[in-house]
Amino acid sequence: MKKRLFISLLLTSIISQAQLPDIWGDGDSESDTEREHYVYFSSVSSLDFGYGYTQSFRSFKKGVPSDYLAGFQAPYHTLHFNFEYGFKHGYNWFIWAGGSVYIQIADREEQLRDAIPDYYPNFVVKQMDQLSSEDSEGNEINADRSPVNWSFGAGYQINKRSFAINMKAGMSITAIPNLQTRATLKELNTNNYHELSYYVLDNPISNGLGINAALSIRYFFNDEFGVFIAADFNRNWYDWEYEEEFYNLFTGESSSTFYNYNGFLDFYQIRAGVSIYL
Amino acid sequence: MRLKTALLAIFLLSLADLVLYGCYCDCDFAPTGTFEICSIDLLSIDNAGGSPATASDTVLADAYAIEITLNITQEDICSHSFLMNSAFAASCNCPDAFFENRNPVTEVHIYTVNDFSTTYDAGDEVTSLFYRYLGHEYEPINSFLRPQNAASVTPIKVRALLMEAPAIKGNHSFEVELIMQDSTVVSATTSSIYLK
Repeated sequence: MKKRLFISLLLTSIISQAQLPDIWGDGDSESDTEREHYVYFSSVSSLDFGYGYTQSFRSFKKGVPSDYLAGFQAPYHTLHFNFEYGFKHGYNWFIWAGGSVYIQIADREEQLRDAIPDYYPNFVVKQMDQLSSEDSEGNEINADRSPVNWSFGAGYQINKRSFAINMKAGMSITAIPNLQTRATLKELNTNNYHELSYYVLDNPISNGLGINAALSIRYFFNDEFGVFIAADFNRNWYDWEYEEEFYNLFTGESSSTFYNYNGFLDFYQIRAGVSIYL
Repeated sequence: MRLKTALLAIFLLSLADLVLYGCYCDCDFAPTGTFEICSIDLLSIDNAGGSPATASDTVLADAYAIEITLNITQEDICSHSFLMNSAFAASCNCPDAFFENRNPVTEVHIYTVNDFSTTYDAGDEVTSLFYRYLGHEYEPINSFLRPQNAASVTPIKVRALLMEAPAIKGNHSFEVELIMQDSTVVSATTSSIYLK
């Protein structure tokens, strides 16, 4: 009961202070002066929830290890949220912060399986294991999670009756989990089997820092609800250090090679969802 | 109150189920039957590709293998049927039915019929050159040719990989010999294959 009362009071407080600008009005009312007053000096916020469909591209050359490290070729489904705070001209200028959670992860094992023959033509992949529990030193890692994108910046919105064109730009971080992967290879023309392992050495999660830009079209049903469609662009730069270990299962001989892998990933996302105006 | 009664009822039912199963569960830990190795068949394998294939007349020496088939036979089957055994196993988590080797293999030998290298002449034992690959490791072959138990009385196949190529190229064949506890000897020889 107390909880309900608290939520009611909180919502009432938020709504009473929101002072929504009449951004979809016809500009013909008698209270133009008054509206202009709070259009200039009041604020309004919006909260978007939506679904996104992402296609990613990379600067990395295709093959081992970029197929393992990036693993982004297949489209991703994302859940998206976005908060905007209009601070001037009735939402013309605003600041924003948003995020996307990738709810479908590309099958990196299959991508690595396809890429290995290009680099190791004398071997056939017999088995793939994705070992996310340990790094090359045997330390326990927890990389069993979805990639996440965070972004923030500023934007400008052009309002026209019930529609608005919303443009924004800013910075972004896309966190990608790193997984240890082991492939069992059979050497052609011999009875020898080998293990090829990849370990990313920096962290269980790689954070790529970059830029973000988006264009949205909004439609307002009323002062409180609307819908939007948006196109997003994200470019994130990564600096990976990883170990490639090749192990002969019969002789026990192993060799390790350490690589630095720098490049960027581009994410193109189309989003759609609902907006709540606070 | 109702919740407590329901939980108590579930607990008592679970307990009764456990007790009843405990009473009627009659696991048989004895072997279902026994078996004996009657003969062995050998097949030369070409393992040069991604998967093993039956060898023709020439094989790369580094990719040669022998598929050893142990033909086993059963005798003295228990009085209860397989069906009864499996039914008990399902309800009581009893061990699966198994057959015990009544005449265990005591010695395993693989001999080269031809001169193999400067170390191994014709007739020498080369068992230590053959291994079995098991997922992520190799194991010496002789341990796999001494089955103590078997899940069913069907032929047992073991693929023996030759892990050291012969220094002397040419036609090669190998004799596999198993000596049983009662001194019975079972042996077979591969067909002659050109190892290049």
